[in-house]
Amino acid sequence: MKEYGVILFFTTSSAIRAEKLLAKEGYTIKLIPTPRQFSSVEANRPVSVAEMRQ
Amino acid sequence: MIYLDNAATSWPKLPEVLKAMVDALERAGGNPGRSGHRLSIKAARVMYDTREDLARFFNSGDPMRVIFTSSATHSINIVLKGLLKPGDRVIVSSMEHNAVMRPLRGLEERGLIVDVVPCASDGSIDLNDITGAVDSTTRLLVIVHASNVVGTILPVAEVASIAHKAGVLLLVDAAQTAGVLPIDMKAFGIDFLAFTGHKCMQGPPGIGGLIIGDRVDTSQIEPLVQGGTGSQSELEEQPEHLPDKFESGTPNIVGIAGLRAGINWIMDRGIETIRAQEKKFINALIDGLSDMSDIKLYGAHDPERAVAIVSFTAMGKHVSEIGLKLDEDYGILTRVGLHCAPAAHKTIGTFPEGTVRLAPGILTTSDEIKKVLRAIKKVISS
Repeated sequence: MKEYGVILFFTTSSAIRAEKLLAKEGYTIKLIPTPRQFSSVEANRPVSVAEMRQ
Repeated sequence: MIYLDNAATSWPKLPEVLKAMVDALERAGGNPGRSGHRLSIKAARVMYDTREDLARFFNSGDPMRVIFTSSATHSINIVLKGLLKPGDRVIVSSMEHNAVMRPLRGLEERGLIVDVVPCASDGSIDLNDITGAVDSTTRLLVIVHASNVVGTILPVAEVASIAHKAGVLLLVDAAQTAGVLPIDMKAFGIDFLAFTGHKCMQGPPGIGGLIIGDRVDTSQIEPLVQGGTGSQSELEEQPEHLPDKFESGTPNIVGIAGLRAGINWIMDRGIETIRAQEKKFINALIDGLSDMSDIKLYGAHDPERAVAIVSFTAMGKHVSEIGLKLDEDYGILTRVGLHCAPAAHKTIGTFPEGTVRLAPGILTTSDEIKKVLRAIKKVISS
């Protein structure tokens, strides 16, 4: 089974920024729509997430 | 045709800009930040990359503090209407455009105190007058970086230092300078930079920006427009985080892509090269017009102290008549009248008649300037 981490952001701009920074560090990144199970984290629902696999 | 109305909007637009705009529609046509599909993400990337380019171009710091707007006017309205409260005092120069004066006069009716610092007839300002105007109730200083009527450049960094000493925020209207004069927000100490994309930035109309400096507490600013952002969609309240707080509604991704191509062109060409060419044209126009006895020139008469805007009137001729003849008989396009800046025209002594304004751009040639001078000579002696 592949393991991966998920990062949640308030805004797509931040997700894109993270994507660029992490790509520079050699991570494989994929932007995906926010999974439903994470959608109600606190009151602040992120718009998208970056998935990374090393 | 000779286009000398670049201070209204630059024209023609560069092929690189047109291509980027078509590409954006064809290849990045999704709604950025809304859907999670590939076209939406492509659009979001174009938008984010442009934020980074702008943050670098103006050395503003955090790209999240780059807010896309429809125009410099829109950007200025966000700051004036979102920040100022009844009883606050705001200080402006007497060279401001109506983009600043109209919202301020509207707010004045609701209790804002507007203090106009008079400029000299060449459009320059005495810094002592600004220092003298600041008091403990002053919330904001607003200054145009260069006049859209005579091109005179105002000392933004010096004004910023006065503002900071007094704990006052500074809004700079860079409509006529962004893209042609180097602007370093951190070094100058600018708190809010309002710019438009379609003038010296070489982008299309309908795109502009507001860049908010690090010193500004954005929780103190009410958003001008509220609505969908694609983020925190479960809430019916406007999000506080940037840039979403000030960017409700589907963004102008086509305009953003065009603007980005414009910035890249400027960075490739070099802002110093662009400015050097502009100075050459200002010099040629000032020299040529000074030789004509019936012409009165306005402004600083010095390319070091002005952007590429030259304003004049002619004895015994209405400016509208000169503008019409230049257009119809010679194919020379200028802008005559008050240029949306009655305060500036009162300052230079040309209200209500106005001036004929010549504004060369990046694609103007020396040969065109010679033709324009010959045509003006004929028109004013006819």
